[in-house]
Amino acid sequence: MKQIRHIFCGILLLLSSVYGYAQSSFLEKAQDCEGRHSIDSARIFIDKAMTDANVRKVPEAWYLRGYIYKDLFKKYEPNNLRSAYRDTAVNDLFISYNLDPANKENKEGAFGTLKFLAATYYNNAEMVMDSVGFHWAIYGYNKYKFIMKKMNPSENFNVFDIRFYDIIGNIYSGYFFSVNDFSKKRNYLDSARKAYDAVLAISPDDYSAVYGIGRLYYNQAVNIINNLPFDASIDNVNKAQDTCIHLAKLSLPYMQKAHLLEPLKIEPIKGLQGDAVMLHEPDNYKMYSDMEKKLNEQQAPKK
Amino acid sequence: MLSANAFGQVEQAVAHTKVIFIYNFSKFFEWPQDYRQGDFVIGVINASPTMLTELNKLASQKTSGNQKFVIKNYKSVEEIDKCNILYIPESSNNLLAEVVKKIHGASTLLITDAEGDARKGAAINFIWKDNKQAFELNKSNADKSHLNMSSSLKSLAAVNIE
Repeated sequence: MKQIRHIFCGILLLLSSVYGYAQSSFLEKAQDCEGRHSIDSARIFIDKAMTDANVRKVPEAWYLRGYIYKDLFKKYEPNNLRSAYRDTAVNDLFISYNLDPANKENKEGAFGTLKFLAATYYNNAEMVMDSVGFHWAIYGYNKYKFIMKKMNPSENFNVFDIRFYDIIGNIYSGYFFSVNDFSKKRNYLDSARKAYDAVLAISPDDYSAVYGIGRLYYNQAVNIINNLPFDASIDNVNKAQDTCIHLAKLSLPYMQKAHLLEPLKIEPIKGLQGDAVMLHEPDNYKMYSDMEKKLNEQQAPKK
Repeated sequence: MLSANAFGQVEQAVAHTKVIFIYNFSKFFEWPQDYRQGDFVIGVINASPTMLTELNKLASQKTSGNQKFVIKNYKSVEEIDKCNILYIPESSNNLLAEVVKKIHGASTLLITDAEGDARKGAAINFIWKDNKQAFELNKSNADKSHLNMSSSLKSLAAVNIE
């Protein structure tokens, strides 16, 4: 708030002399209310002030409105990902900066508040990052990235992206495993694959994504067979087996890589056993079964 | 991340495929009159729990004409009684000769699951072809059991043994 007062020291005098008393008075009142934490009154005055075309040319006025709307968001909707207060605050602060990018003081103030708002998007996204709210999590995360990138186009999000898309991939996978409808399954598989691919584009050796993709194709293969009705014709069983083999072949390189990345993890070994069954490779099945047995023995608590 | 149960589904997939084949076979053969009365019995020798589950699922969902499917899991050759279909899993393949002797003269469709079994008394033997579950057919073994076979089954077999 100290910064707000500082920024406004000269601007009110300037506005009253150039654009007239009424609008500068509204601004002054808005600033005064903000200083006294009377946010709702501050909002009324700033909205009135901003109806004037001349005031709308002033970066500091946009900054003040952004600041007030940020406080409205904090007061009324701190957990609402779709908060219009926050959207308005972000928009106003960028307008403020764009009107005078050379103004160091204004930039520092606007960017400081924008960073805070970006962090709230990220935190809100984390709060709904589950099987129900993940669409909103994606929305919030993209908003966070949008703000941060606009302030610093070279900002690197790799660590956040990996973490975020790994979780999203796992959520879509969870849906894929739990629904029975085949077209829905297909959509969830594609969405999960997309999320994991986003991770692998940044970090090709990310175990969670590599294993996640192998697991998706493996399960799709198994599901196709297990969902065949008993009265399926032999021709249809053969077609289903062809699809199953195709999917097992898609799964295999990911399971193999997951095993290389984490040789002591049991899941990829079990996946490799399953792929070997579907591809009818008895030698490989035996090899991975022995491997699993050995690993279980090694990991069993010693008596 | 993935329960062991999910990987267990591959075992179910293998058993499910075989049961679909077995159900198909029940439609491609015609049994003598005395086997078309009462229950349609599918016997298995020492069935795995997964195979048994799949067969019981079939029995709860389907019938053979107006005959109810009944699944019998025999623990030994001595236990085998009148059945329409008898399936010997690969793990019990060592009992084949004894089984063939036991069901001699009966109208039992013998289905096996090990290389070479179609030449050792089985009418149908599960095999793998091009990585897929398939079957070989020995019509003369089916004939010996007095079973009328639909000619279209021949074209579906991966191997026909005359």
